Amino acid sequence: MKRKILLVDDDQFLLRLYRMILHHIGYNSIYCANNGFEAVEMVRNCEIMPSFIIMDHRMPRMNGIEAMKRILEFDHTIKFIFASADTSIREEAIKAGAIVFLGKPFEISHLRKIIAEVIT
Amino acid sequence: MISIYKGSIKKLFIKCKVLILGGIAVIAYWFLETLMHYLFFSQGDDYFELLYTLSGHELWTRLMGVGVILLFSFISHLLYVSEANAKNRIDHLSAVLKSIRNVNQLITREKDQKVLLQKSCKILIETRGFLSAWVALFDDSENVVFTAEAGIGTPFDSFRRNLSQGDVPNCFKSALTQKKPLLIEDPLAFCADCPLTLRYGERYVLTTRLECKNTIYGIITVSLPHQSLNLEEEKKLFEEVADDIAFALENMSLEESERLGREKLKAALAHADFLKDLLAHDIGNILNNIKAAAGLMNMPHFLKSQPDKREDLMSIMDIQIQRGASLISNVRWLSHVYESEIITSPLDPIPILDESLRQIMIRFEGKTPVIETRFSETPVKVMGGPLLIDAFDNILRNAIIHNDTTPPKLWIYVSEDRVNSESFVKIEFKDNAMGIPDERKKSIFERTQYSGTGKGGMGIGLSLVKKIITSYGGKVWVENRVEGNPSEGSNFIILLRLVNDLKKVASYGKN
Repeated sequence: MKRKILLVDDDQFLLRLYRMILHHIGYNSIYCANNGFEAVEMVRNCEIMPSFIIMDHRMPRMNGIEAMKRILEFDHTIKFIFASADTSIREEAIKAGAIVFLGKPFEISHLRKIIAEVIT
Repeated sequence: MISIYKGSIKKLFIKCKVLILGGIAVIAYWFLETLMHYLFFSQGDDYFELLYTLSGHELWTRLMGVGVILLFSFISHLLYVSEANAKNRIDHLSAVLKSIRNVNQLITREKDQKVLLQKSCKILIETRGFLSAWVALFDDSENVVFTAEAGIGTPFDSFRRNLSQGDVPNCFKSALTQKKPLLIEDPLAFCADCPLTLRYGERYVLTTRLECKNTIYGIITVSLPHQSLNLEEEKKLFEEVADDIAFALENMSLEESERLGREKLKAALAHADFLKDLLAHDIGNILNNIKAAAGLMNMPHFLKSQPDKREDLMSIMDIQIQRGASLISNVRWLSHVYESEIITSPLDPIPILDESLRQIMIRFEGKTPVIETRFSETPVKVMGGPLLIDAFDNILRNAIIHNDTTPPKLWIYVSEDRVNSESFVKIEFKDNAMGIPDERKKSIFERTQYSGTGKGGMGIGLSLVKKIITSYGGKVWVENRVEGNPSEGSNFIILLRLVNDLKKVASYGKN
C-alpha cells in the first residue's frame, strides 16, 4: 500500500514493534518521530504528508495533543489514532480531533482493525 | 562623681522639698521676728547680736513659732508625699494596663514569633516604664536561636554573641530553674561577667522564663529603676506580661506545627500522585510492548515469513522486563530519597565509587562490561553523604542497561577541577551506549521526564541523581563522549565540592 503513515512515540521499542506490525499488514511507507515537536516539524516542512498518524501523548518537548492540534491546523485531512497509557486524556484527545483513542496496552488485532477502518 | 553628687542632691530635694521649704520658712521667720524686735523694741541693740542673744519670753515666742512652722511643714510634707505616691501609683497602673493591653493587641494580630518578641520589648519600655527589655527564644534543645532587645543598644551585641555560643549569665540560669520571676536587686554582684551589668548599674532586674503548658519557649528580662514603688507588684505584673507572651508563642508554635503538617501531607499526596502516575504510565507502556511483541509472535505467518524477527522480539520482551524491574527499583529509591533527609558530610568518593563498580560488575556479569578507571593518586575529601553510592549506581546502571553494544564499555575518570574559582572533584562516567540527543540533554534530569530513551524510568532515576548531587552542593550534567557526535555515547559528569572550600559548603548541609 502506498499510503504514508507517521508514528510518533518516544519509546523506540514501540516504534520498532509498530513498524513490524505495519510491514506485516502491508504498509511500507512508515515514518517515525520521537516527539510531538519532531512530528509537527516533519509535516510543516512537507517532509511527509501522512494519511494517518499514530500518536502517543506523554513525550518530551511537545505532547501528543498539542502536536495533533498544530498538525490539524496545518492539514485537517490527516487522521489521528491516539495511543497512550494515560487514559485520563481520552476525552481531550477525541475533542481535539483524534478519530480513535487506544489505551495501552492494546491488542494487535484491535490496532489492525482500527487501521483498516481509518483507511476506508 | 560630681554628676552623681549633683543627682543625689536633686533627688533629695524632690523627695523632701516641703520639709526643706519649711526649714527655709523657719530661718526666714527667725530673721523677720528679730527685725520686728529690732525696729520696735530695741534700745540701740545691734541687729545681728539680737539674732542669737535672745532670752525670756522672746525666746519662747520664737521657739513656739518655729515649732508651729516645723509642725505645719512636716504635716504638709506627709500630705504631699502621700498625694505624690498616689499619683505615681495611678500613673504606674495606667502604664501597666496600657502595656498589657498593647502586648495583648500585638498577640492577636502578630503571626511571626520574632516580630512579636521584638515589638513586645519595644512596648515594654515605651509604656510599661521599664528601662530596658530583652528576650531570648529557644529551639527544642533549649539553644538560643533568636534574641530581641529594646533600650540596651550596642552592649547587647556581645551579649547576643555569648548567648548564641551557650555562654549564659547567672540570671538566665537562675530564671530557668524557677517558675516565678526572679528579682535581682544588685545586678553587678549577681552577674559580674555579664556585658549588660554596666548598663544595669543602678537598676533592679526582673527575669523569668516564657513558659506555657510546661514548654519553655525562652526567657524575658527587664530592668527597672531603683525608685520602683512596690517590687512585689512589679513582679506580679511582669509575670502576667510574660505569661501573655508565652501563651502567644505557644499558639504560634501550634499554628506552625499545623502548617508544617498540612504542607507535609500535601507534599506526600503530590508524591503519591506522582508515583501512581509514573507507575500507571510506564507500566502501561512496558506491558504494551510485551503484549505487542507476544502478539506478533502469535500472528499467523509472521514468524514464517520473517524468522529472523524471533530473536528481535524475544530481546524486546527481555528488555521490557528489565525496564519494569528498573522502574520498580527507581520508584522504591524515589520514595526512599523523598522520605529521608539528605545528610551531608566530608568523605572520600573513591572507595564509594569502587564499591559501586564492584556491585555493577556482579549485577551485570552476563553482559561482561569493560570498565576502565583513572583515579587521582592523592586521597581527596568532598562534600557527600550516604546517598552518593545510589547516585553513582544509577549512572553506571543506565550506562549498561541502555547499551546495545557488545561489550558495553565504561571509562570512569576522577580529577580535580576549578569552576568560578571554586575547587571540585570531577567524576566522569563515559560510555559507548546509544547516546542522548542534544535537545534532551537538559530535560533528562527533570523529574517529569518520562521513560528517557524508552527503556524505562531512566529520567526518574536521573532526576534523583540531580537532587542528591545538588543537595551536596555539587553539579551534574551530560555531554557527548565524542564531541559533536551524540550517537557515540555519553559522558555524565559529576562535580563534588572539595572540602577545603568548607566555608562555601556550609550552607549546603540542609536539604
